[in-house]
Amino acid sequence: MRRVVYDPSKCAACKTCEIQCSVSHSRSGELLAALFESPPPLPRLAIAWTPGLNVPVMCAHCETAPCLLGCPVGAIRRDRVTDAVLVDDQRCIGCFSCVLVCPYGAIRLSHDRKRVHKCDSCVDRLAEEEEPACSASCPTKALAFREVEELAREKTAAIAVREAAALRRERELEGGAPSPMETILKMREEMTRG
Amino acid sequence: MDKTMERPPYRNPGDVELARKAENDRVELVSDRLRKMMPECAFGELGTCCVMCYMGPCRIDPFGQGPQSGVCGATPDVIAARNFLRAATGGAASHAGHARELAILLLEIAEGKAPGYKVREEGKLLALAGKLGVPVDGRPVNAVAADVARKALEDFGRQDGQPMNWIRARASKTEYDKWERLGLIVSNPHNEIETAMHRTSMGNDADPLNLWVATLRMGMVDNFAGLMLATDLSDVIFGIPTPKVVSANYSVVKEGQVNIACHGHNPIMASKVAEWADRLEGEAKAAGAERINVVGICCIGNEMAMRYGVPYAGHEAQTELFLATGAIDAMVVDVQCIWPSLPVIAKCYKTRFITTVPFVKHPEAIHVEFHADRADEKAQEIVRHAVAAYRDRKAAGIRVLIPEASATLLTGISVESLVAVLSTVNPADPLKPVIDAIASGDIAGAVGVVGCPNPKLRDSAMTEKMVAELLRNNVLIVTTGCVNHILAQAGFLTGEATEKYAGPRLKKVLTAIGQAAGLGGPLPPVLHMGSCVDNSRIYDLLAALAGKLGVEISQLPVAGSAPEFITEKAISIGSFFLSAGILVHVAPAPRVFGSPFAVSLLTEKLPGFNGGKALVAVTPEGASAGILAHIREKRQALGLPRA
Repeated sequence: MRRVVYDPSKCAACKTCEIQCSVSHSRSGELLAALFESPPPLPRLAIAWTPGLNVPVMCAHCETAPCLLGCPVGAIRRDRVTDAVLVDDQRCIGCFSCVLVCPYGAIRLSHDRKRVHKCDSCVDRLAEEEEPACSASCPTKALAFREVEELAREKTAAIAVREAAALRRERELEGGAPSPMETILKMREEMTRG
Repeated sequence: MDKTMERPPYRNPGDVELARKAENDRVELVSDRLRKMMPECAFGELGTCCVMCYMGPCRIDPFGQGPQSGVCGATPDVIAARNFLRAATGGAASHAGHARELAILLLEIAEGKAPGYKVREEGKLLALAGKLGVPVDGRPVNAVAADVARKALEDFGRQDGQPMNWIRARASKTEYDKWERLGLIVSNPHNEIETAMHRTSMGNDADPLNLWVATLRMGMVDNFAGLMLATDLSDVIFGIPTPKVVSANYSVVKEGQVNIACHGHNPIMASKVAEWADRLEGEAKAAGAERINVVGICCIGNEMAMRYGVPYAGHEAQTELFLATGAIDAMVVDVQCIWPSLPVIAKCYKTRFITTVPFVKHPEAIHVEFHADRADEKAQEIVRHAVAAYRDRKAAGIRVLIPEASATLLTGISVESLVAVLSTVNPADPLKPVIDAIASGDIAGAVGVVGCPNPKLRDSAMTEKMVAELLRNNVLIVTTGCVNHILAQAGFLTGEATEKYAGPRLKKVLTAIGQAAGLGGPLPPVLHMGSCVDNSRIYDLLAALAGKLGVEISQLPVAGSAPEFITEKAISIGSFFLSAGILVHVAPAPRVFGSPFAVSLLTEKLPGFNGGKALVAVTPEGASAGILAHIREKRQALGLPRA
């Protein structure tokens, strides 16, 4: 099972994912033409942030999806091929129950505010064996299209490395040199401290 | 803890009141736009986004997963160095443009082509002429003025590679020799700017060190073809600033008067508008107003307050709020820091937004092109716009809210006026009391606090808190630029501030000087030396102190700080102070952290070359601690006692 997964510590907030998501869901599929489309193609993910961290937020396509369970008219369904949770625009009545129950705030209002609008896991691109537009375009790989099980295995393996590093840092008085990104984020956090 | 509880000493209540009014009036402010812009792109913040050519845009992944060089092969060190040099070039171009306008005006005055202006400071003109090798004996003032102006303009066309006239005339011998050894003496500011643009365009300089040396050279352009040339010639034409107490903050705007807010940088236009505001008072009265009230915003506020005592309204980040008072009849601008948001907001309040420079225009503004040869005519046209706008405002019943926030400040501290004040203590050797106080540790050191008011750092009261902490540690503060409005509004430029903020030893010195000079109280602990071009005054003062002590400027227990910088001009000014071998503190973080080379150069290697060093600290505590540590280090190296 593959999903777009994110690593907030790598997100540079460049918003390339938002732009490429919009372009990919535009009628033309091209940036310069998409600028002139009406209604404008809205991004289906957003960068949430606090001064210390940027977090790309999008639909997790939950296995037990509250939005799907809560939709009173059955407008939300699971795609058999890709496992994606999809909204049927024709059936959506704009009650926004799904907006209320989504734990991520990943469901937004459509441009005319009459329906909802969410990540469709780029099912059209997946059909062409292309990965979703957001992860494909992410310049720092903060977003990646990964096998969830493989990711879990990697995380388990990384625990040992992380613990070893933590031990090493404890031994050093100063701690390791921060990455440039950490330095910038730390300053941003400090700066907004009133 | 309630955040507002931590802020009251420094929060300007007027800002809060007017922000609320703007919200009710559905006017979008800088704070709203900043919020929408967040989070800002880290590639830009790191300096490793390159848009120099069309194989890109390129950006370097700081985590090492994605691209590690641009399509052309430029490394992050090259990209950051090129970007930084271009920013310094933008700043130096602004200052050189400002100064060149004044040189042209001086020539026009000398040739009788600018009848509205004259040479006000013959003494300073003759002193400059002496340094430039212009003969003065028995010659009419205008002949000398013409030659001085030509010496300035000659630098802008120089192709012989010889050092700039202004560097030869105005750099101290010690510093000149040092710069010559380091290859930092420049010949022609325009060539330097051209070469910087050339070398940073695609497929040229790819040596980070070479690019950073060019940035230090751009700093030299900034100071000698920009700041110093502008200050020197402004003093000659508009007068040397003298100490005066001026009123500040929102309350300088007056409901029943025609309010003209001058915003920008060069006194050429604003001085004439102020003059004609007085002369056309009758027209204002006919329109039902008491008089015409000219106030200064941003650096023109500095220029006008220092010389003529014009009310010192507020800083760049308050400009939108001044419009939101509903009481500004005309906002007249020249160059630099004129936000494109302003004419749009002005429309909401029937404020006439008047641009005057052919390369600073806006589709929503009224353009009255200002030329020195028709200065009186153009100034009258501008003032009449304001009077007409007053009628419109009254007729339309625009709601007015002028906050009661008020302050006073002692301004007008030029090197000349400072020496005059100090002469009351020691007529034979005016600088001696200061040198003695530094040597004994009564004055631990001095910091030049310069630059802008950045909305990103206004909530944390960066400038106020940093300055308070430095003063508590007996560090004397001199200021220039927009940031001084922040300190003036918070009451730092008064004798009472010495009582409130200065450490005991600093207080003792300032009280003694205040008494000797007959101020009726201590000298303020923050001395206002002018606008952003007047950073040259700080350099002059440092050169005089270093000369007196027989050391290099880089050995003095001093630092520069731009605690809330916004513009490229701050980058070029900072580059000059790095060239001069001074610790330069900045916040927000300069866009160099994506380049390990730049970080190492600016914090570790440069101090060994010439003493210059960058300190990046974005909290008041971090900044003051870093600066104080530097001052301690410098005192120790000079063998001075711990302060």
